[in-house]
Order: sequence, then structure tokens, then C-alpha cells
Amino acid sequence: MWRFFLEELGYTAVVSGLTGRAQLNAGVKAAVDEVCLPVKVFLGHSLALTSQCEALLIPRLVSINRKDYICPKFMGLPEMTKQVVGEHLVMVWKSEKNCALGSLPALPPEIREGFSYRRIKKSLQKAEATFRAYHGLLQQGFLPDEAERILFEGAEPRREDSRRRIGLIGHPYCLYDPFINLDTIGLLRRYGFQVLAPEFFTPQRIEAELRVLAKPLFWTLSQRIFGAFRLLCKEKVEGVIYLSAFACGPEALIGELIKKEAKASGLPLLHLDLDEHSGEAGFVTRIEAFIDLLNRKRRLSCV
Amino acid sequence: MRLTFPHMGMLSIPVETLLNGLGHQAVTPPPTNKRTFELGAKYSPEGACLPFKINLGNYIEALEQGAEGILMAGGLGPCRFGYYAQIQRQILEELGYQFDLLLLEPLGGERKELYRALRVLREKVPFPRALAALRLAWAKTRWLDRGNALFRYYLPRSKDPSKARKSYHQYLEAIRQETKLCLLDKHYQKLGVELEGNLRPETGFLLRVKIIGEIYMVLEPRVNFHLENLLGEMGVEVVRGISLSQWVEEHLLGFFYPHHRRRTILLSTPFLPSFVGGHGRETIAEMVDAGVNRLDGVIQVLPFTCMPEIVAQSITPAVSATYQLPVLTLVIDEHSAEAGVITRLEAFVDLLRRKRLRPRSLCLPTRFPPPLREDLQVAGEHHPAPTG
Repeated sequence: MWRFFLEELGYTAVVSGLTGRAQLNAGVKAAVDEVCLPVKVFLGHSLALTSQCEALLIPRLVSINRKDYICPKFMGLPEMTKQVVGEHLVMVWKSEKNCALGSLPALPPEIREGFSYRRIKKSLQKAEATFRAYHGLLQQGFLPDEAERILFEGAEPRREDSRRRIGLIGHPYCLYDPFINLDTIGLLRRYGFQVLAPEFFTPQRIEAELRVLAKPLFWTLSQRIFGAFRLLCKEKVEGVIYLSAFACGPEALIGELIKKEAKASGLPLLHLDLDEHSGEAGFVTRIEAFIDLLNRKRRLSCV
Repeated sequence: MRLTFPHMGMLSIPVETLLNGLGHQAVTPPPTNKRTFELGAKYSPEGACLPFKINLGNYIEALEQGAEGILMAGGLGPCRFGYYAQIQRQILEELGYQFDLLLLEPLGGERKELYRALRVLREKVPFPRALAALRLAWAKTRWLDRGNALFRYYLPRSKDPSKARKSYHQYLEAIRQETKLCLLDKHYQKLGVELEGNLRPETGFLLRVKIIGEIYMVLEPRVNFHLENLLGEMGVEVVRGISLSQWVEEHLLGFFYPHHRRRTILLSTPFLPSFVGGHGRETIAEMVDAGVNRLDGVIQVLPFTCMPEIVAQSITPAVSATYQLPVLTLVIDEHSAEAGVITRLEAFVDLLRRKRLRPRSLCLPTRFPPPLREDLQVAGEHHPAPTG
């Protein structure tokens, strides 16, 4: 979406590539010890980009729904990045409370003042249309990288439905970055599973599931995780893998809720914590063991 | 009803008064101790922050003593504090305890829960008596904070620190027992006279260090290893902006005391123009305040995995460079040990002493402070007063 918007305005957008060891190490070195893995990766990407471009566009996501927040670290992201990249120009795109996604005041002043109102409006509309199409694809059950390929490169939408389905929940930045999560999705596919992620469900369905809670959750992403978990219980998946980042604040509490739900519904749940020291071997072993358990459960239920 | 509540510094004194005045029986949990840590760490989720674990330990110990209800505050996020009570209730119910949870939610959140809690709290006594109890509790909070400030000032200047500590503890006990509003002042006077009598004849220069960070860790001496006493006995005057009465004024009575919020926003905007939940913004504001007032150093205390404080922690280097203000960040969790903290404090104080002995001209700021903005039309203004 941002790429469309910026190119429409005549900027050249440089998007950072896939995460690699180099970015992660740079981020880990630059960041405070206690921040969570996604922030370290983000800082690593920002550092890599500073050498390629003149300005960084960084979102300040305070809140995307009424009455909820994303996470304190997202709110302080621009400041943390400024600390790391030094004197580089940082543009902040801010999303305040009750602020629509493509609204004008959210844009950084550097962009807002440089172009005419009509031109910005038009680009925003175009970008928003792309964004909607992207989300439509996600809700049809495509993973983000597939959806991006369909949108930008015109690849044929193609999906394989397998009869064995496994749920994968967690924050989007943990789920869809094959470097951070050591390619969990690929691994599960190789075992013949179809992966269901929280982004496949429409917000309306997730909201309906959240009514069981005594007090509404005030983190949007945690809401999505919890709602998606309850939906997955109903979708007859074989098991659920929960990927969370070490030292992620909301997840420490949500994990407790999800554990209780899993116990109540009898769904197998594997909770994996990710950090920069995760080794692939340990990770794969645990997932394989989990899959073995699922196979065994299935065999026993067949007999 | 036999009601209990979590510890936070001297919070137990006014809350005890309030609950007893409202016709309930306050069950104060035993002072936070090793067993509290163990119980809390055992039953809490591993990644939860330290205040969560200690609160849970406090509840378990109080429920063992026969408490029937728990009084707790809520919040709107994005700090995890707002969701503490829900998860703690779930854990305690799984452990098989029977209790009633009274949640004081802020006005922006679940009003039904707040009104229910207030009704249950108030129904035992007539309204004027409830009001009198509230007034006495509030006065106690104010006097406790004043007494604490006095003690912090006199401790590094006193001849015999243990004697100063003793008179301070006597003061706390006296305030705890007191039932008359007009006599609170007398105890304060007495404390002042006692501390004055204990003064050292001559004192050289004293370092002044400010403690900032997450409010629970700053205020609870049993969790932060009596940081203020340790520093005081090293001959450092501890300055602290965060206190219980200041918190109540800012978050519960913000309408009557708008200057706290204005000050926070004014001071923190050059470095952190947005609200980040919890005490993140206050931490930066207090640090800037310390820099402007030329204090010798700042100690930031935070529980491990505290989200708002981590954001603040990543910004402290900028503030530190701008005002030439040394910072020590102490991250505390249930595995922290006193010896490690003392060593770090001693090293930090030594560094500050050396810096102080150097002529001032050598420590010119490398960067000039950014101008403080006069207009307050910034992001944080749109948010309702956050709790926790």
C-alpha cells in the first residue's frame, strides 16, 4: 500500500528485503537489551535502509480501532529508531485514536506540504484500494507473501487445499517472517498441513468471539490472536501452534487465557517463544514432536 | 467484608484506614517477603512483569489469612496493568480460592464494574462517614509523602542513619494508628524535630540523585531493595518526583490538578512526543526535569519486560547526552539479588563523585537542549487519563 502511494507521488520507495542474519545482528547490537525480537529486527531493517535512501517512513501506530491500542513499543517506535539511525531524516506516519487508515492528517508533514491536496487524495485512494484487495486475498486464505505476489507481479492465484489443517497463531510479524520463525509455515506445509492464520478470519467474526471475555482486551493484535484461537477451535483444526516473541508484554498475559481455552476445548497447543538465539534444530524437533503427537492422536481416534 | 489489597510502598496505611472507616475489615497482606516472591513466581505466567507476580503473592498470602474480597485497580491499557485483575482472578480461581474481586476501573472503561465496586464498598456506613474516611485516608497519603520527603532529605545528613530510620518507622506507625485528622500534623512535627536533632555537624557536598521509572518499583522498598535507604546511607540525597499522592492527583483527580499532566507533556515532548502507556512518558519528563535542575544523576528502575519503560529506556541516552546527566538503569525481576544492586549503586555513586570533583568547565554539553515547546497541542492530549 505504501509503495503504491509513494510511487504515485513521485518518490522512489525502497522496501527492505527479507530478514537475514546481518539485519538481526545489527538490530540486536543497536537496541536496548530488553526490547522484543520484532523491534530488534525492525531496527536492523531501518539501519540497512539508511544506506540506500534519504528518508525513512516510520509508522507510529497508536491505535487502529476505537478503545484499543497496539502496544507501547509501537507507540515509541519512531523515537527508538531516531536513537539508532542518528541524524537520518525520519518521517513519522502517525495513526492516532479513531483515525482512519488512509486519512490525511496522519501523513507526515514533509509529504503533506509538498504536494497538492488533490494529488495526495488520489494517491491515497489508490493505495487504499490496493490495501483492501490485499486484505481480501488474505481472508480468502492466502499468506501475505502469496498475496503480494498476486498483487504486484500478477501471479495466478493458486491454492492447495489439504485435508489436514493446523492453526498457527501469533503476531503477524512473528508468523510471516520466515527468518524469525525459522520457516515454520514451510515446515508445516512439507508435512502436508494446510496452515490457518489469524489474518484469514474477518474482523467481524473475531469480534463476535471476543464477547466471552469479562473485560474487553485493549490490544488489537491480542484480540485477533484470542478470537482466532476460538475460531480455530470451531474450524476443526488438528492442533494449534502459538508463536510468541520472548519478552512480548501482552502475550505473557494472553498466553494464560489461551492455555485455559485450550484446556477447556481439548485442542492440542504448542507454545513456542522466539528470540534471537532460537536455533533451528531445537525448533524443528519440537514442531516434529508436536506433529507426531497429532498423528498419534489421529491414529488412536481412527481405531 | 474482610477485604485485602496489594502492597505498593506505603499504600497499605491509607487503604487500611479507608476500608476500616467504611465499615469493612482490612486484611493487610504480610509485608512482601521471600515467600511472596516465590508464590507469585510459581503461579504467574513466566513472562508477566514483576508487579503482577508480587501482587499475586500478596493475594495468596492474604487469602490464607482469611480475606474474602480483593480490592484492585483497573486500567485502559496499553500497559498490562489494566488486565492484571482478570488474569489474576483466573489464576486464583484455578487454585481454588473463593473471593469477590472489587475492581476500581477508570471512568473511561467498564463503568458497571466500577459502580458495583463503589456500591459494595460504601453500603455499610452512611454517606457522611464514608466521606470522612476518604478524607482521612487522603490526608494520610499526603502526610506520608511529606514525611518521606523529609526523611530522604535528612538521611544522608544524619549522624546515625539507623536512628533516623527508626524515627521514620515510628512516624509511619503513628500515622497508621492515628484516627484524628488534626493530629497528623503533630506527628510530622515530631519527626522533623527528631531528624533535626540527629544532624551531622558538618557535611561536605552531597550528591543529588533522582529515582525515576515504573511507579511500583520506585515506591515499593521491599522490591527495589530499599534503594532510597541504600543511597541515603552512601551519602546521596535521593530526589523523587513520583509519589502516591502525586499519582492520585494526576490520574484520579486530574481535573483538579491539571499541572501534573501539563508538566509531563511539556518536559517530555522534545524527546517523546507521544503517549506510550504506563509511566514511560513520566520517566522521560522526570529525567528532563533532573537535567534542567542540574542533578548529579538519575537511576531508572523498571521491572523486567515492562513495555513502556523499555521505550523510555531506549530514549534515555538522548536525554543523557543532551543534559550531561549520567543514568543507571536497574532492571529488576524475581531473580535479582541485593548484592548485585549494591555493587552497581556503589560504582555509580563513585563515578558521580569523580564527575563532581572535576571542574564544571570540562563537562560542557555536547548537544544543546532542544527548546521546550510552549504550545501543548500534542498527541498525548487526546487520550483519556491513563491509569497504570
